[in-house]
Amino acid sequence: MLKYVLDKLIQSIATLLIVVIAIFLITRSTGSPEDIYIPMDATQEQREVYMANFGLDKPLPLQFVYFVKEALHGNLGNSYATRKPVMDSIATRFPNTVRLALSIMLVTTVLGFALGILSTLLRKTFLNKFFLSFFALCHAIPGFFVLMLAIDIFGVRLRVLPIAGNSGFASYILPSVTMGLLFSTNIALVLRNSMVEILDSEYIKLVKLKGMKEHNVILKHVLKNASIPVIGMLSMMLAMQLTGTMITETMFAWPGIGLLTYQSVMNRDYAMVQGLVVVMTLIVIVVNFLADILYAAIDPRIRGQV
Amino acid sequence: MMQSAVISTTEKKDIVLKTDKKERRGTNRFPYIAGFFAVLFILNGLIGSLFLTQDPMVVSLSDKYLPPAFISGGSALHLLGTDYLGRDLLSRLVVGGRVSLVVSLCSVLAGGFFGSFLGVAAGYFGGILDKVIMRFCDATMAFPHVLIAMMLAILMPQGFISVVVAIAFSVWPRFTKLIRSRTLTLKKSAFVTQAKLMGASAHRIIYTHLIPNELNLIIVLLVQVIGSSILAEAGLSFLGLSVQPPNPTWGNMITEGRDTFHVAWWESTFPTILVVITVISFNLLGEWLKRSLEPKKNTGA
Repeated sequence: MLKYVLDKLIQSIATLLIVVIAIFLITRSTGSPEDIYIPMDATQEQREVYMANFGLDKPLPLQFVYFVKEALHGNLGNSYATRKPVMDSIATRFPNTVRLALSIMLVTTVLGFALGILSTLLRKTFLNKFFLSFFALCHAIPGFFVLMLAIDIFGVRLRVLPIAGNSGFASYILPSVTMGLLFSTNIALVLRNSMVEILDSEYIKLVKLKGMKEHNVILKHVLKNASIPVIGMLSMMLAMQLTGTMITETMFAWPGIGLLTYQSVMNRDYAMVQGLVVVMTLIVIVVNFLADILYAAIDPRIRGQV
Repeated sequence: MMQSAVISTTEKKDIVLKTDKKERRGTNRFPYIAGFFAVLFILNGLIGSLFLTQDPMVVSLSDKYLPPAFISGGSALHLLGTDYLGRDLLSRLVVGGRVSLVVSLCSVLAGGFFGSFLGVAAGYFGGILDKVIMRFCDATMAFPHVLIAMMLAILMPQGFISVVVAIAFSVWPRFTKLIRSRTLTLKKSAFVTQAKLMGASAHRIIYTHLIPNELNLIIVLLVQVIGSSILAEAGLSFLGLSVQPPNPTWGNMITEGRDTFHVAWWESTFPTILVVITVISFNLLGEWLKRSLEPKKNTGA
């Protein structure tokens, strides 16, 4: 187990390093802040001072070493636009993203399991087709259209829910229920398929032969085993949500890091983008790492294959 | 004890036979409706614009927000109504469909080719190469995909090529992971080891033994990914990162209808319906292909 954890840890660090190098090179090849943030009539001297402020006068390898060294100390440099530390902006925005992500995941998990179990129990009735079509529809519809529809109905026509910004509990309802519903159908479909497969297996047939009622079989024996693939999906979704989905956040003008990323790219504030990408990738990698460990802890077969 | 064991084996046989038949008859029929819509989608992309009666780009402000013809107030000239600039919705949908087709096909083919190639290389040669490719796979999957599209949109003229590259970029790791694991199994199989013993070069083994045996997997995944790439294009359109207006794409048509949704619901609803139908069709086709090309899964072996 320890070897497995160590292997995964080394892999994660390598992955992070690749992303850091990539984003470092990309942000430097997409244009210098000199062209955007310095007034046209600035003197050569002023330009040099500005560039030196951000360390952009040094050779590229040196800039990179400096960037990594500072990043390890929790300093991601200053924003080109506001000249304030990138870390501060991320730190003030991040809690909003985390809260929204957690409320979306709560809805996703509860609804996903409920729909998954319900559709398995009712798979032999006429409702089976209804569930499957509903899952297929949610899988194929552009998420932002559903958000638009929800905003139009509950925000514009009925005026019962706030549709922009974060102004307390009511603001969470619309984004988390809509996105949660869409995501939950993915969970439900995977759960249903894996439950149906397990229901066909020998040990379940034995339990049924012994006379156990089907809904008891499903709840006591099948659900536990069928949940394993769902854990992977949930962790992936959590990572995605924690990095702030740009579409949801721009739609609701949600003051999180997804919206911050969108605005920073639009403002060509690459120092901010660079910091955001490092933080986001770190989140994804940590969540994946924890999910891998969790998997290996549940299923000993995984530990062998790295 | 003996008796119950005998009973359970006969029962098992029965059950296997039953599910076998059911699978063959019931669940793996060709999805005709999905096939029909997929063909329609492709035909529309190829020759749809020949049948246009209206110019999709002509602005006519006096005709703006005309409802579809089947609602009172609609005109027969604009069967599905007009948008906020008075442009004919039906002809914009036809032209937008072509963009969706070309973008999704190009990005999926590019990502599929590149990803499968790396997957074969990683699986066959192993070692350091395998490790490096897999790390790049993970890095790509951890990198926020929308950001790639945004960066590309800044690096190159925003539009067709930047979208294709962005979607291809988010797609390739799926091919690499699948093909790599398939290559690892094939590598151990008798025919590959024998080819090796006969002195076949790596090049020959890859092209005559590995790739033909992986082609079915690649095709299945290609079809399965088309749906999600159409959705990805729509998502990028929402952020203004796809083919730029006034050129219509289904994604930017949905987005343009966003602010006027309460006065002209048709503007974003019709493109959404088309996206949904097309994506479901390709998903169903992908499922069907997967089942019919992997016979082992059908018999439960």
